[in-house]
Amino acid sequence: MSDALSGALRMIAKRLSALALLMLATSFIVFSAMYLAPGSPESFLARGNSVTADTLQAIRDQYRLDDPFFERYLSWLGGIVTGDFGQSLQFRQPVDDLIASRLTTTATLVVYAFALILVSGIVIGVVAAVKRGKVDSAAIIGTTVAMGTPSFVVAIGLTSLFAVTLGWFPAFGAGEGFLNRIWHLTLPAVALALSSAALVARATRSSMLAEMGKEYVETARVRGLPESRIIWRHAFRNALVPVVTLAGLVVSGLLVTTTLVETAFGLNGMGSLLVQSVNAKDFPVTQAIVLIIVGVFALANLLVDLVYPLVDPRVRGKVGA
Amino acid sequence: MAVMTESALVRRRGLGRRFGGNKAMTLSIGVLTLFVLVALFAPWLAPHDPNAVSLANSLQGTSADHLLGTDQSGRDVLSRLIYGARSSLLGPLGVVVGATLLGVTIGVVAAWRGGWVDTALSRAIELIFAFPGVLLAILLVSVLSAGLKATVLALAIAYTPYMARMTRSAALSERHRPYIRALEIQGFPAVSIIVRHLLPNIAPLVLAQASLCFGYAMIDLAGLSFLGFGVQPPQADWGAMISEGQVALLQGAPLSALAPGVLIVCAVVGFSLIGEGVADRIRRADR
Repeated sequence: MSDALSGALRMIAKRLSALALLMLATSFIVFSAMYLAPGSPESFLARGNSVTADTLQAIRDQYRLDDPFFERYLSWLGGIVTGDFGQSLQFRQPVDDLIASRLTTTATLVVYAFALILVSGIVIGVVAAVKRGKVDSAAIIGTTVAMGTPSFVVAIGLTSLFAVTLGWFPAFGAGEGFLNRIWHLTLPAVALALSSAALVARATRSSMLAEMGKEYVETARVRGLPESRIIWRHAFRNALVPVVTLAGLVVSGLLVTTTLVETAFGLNGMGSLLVQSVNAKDFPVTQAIVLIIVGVFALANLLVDLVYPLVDPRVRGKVGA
Repeated sequence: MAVMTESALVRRRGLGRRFGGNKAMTLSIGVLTLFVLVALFAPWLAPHDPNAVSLANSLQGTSADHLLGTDQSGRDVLSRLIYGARSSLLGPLGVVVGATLLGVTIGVVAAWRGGWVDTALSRAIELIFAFPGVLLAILLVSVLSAGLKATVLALAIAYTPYMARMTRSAALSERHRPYIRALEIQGFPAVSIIVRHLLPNIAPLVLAQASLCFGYAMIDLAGLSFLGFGVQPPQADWGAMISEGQVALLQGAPLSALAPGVLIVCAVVGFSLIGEGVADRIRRADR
């Protein structure tokens, strides 16, 4: 056990250093991209007003626009390491505060959608694999269409039906307080979840089908175990491994898709902030959000590898390899 | 993956025979052919000028003159859908062609040369993998400017890893087969072996992957146009039309936003069914 533990620790250390390297490369790409961008930030800051050369110079000094490239990159990077992402050009407030104020909406939305994806995806996948026949065909057709439906198309469809025609849910805003927030975020969460839920359902289905055909399931049946116990305690445990891998990929994809869903539902989250900041050439905010999304993307993949041994005891000994 | 590519690819058959049979696939090919024809002949098919603004006719319902009604600015929705097929299909085509050329080149070179070339290329591919496609496109748009070109370029780069990985593993398993060895021993130059023998043998796999990518590229490009980063108004595009139709949708006139959405779903599902169908055939021929 201690061997496995030290192996796992070594793996984590290796993966974390790879992650750090990736973030370094990403930060460099993001920073140099913004550096090369045509159109200067100070002209945006002057907001089209004709300003004196002195004012322009003051702005250039404030944002250190005259420093050489590497000096600016290093000071920016140094700031990020200490948790300072700089000043937003359009909101004139620290990027950290700005993102923090938007985080609740996005985090609630992503967690809500992720819960929907796991529950509905797994239930549909297991039921389709166990029942077969018409249920299975319906599940396959449904998931094929759902996988091909972009989140923003789901968003307008839901808005049209449940917000405009039926009036059950609000079409805009994130709401205040927990219950109100959940009510407001239900349509956005469904829009965010649908295609990924279909993906998880498909993966669960094929994984369950493979398990249900194995000998141990037959043995369990012969021994007279109740079917529900065979399905959930035996086959499902084994079928879960590929689903966990997929779930990791899905959760990181959700962060990008929130840009579309938040825009469609007029939510003040990180995704819509990214869209706003790109439109306004608010580089510090764009840089910060891109970096955060890539970081979460990589971190989610790391977490999946760490969760593996919990899901599948067979890989416990081999983690270090 | 490696097992799957083994023997199926040695036998080469005509594309026509690969496509027949499967009902879902036949239907998909039919629908997509229709879309392509509509895009090609848009000027002859469209009943109205897609950009003719007429505020007096704003948000009309379906009628004989406007089969799908008009949008917020009084433009004919059907005509905009027909013209929108052009950018909505050309964009993903650009992404897939770019990603396929780049990805197949990288994959084949990595598999053929091996060693440090393979290591370096694989690392570069992993780095791009860390960037979600839409995010890369948003980053590029913020650096360049919004438009179809920038988003297609960004997505072509973002999709390259998928093509490169698949090509590399397929080319790697072909690389060590006897026929390639035999050609090498006979002294044929590497380029001619790759172009005349290796590439045709991995072509079906590339085609299946490209078809799947086409659907995803369509979703991503439409999304970017929806955000205002892709095709710019007033040009007709399915993704942009959804964004333009949102206000009307909230006022209870959903057709100008829902119709392009339905078309996107049909096209994406069609491409993914074709991709799965081709992959299925390769797998079955393998058994």
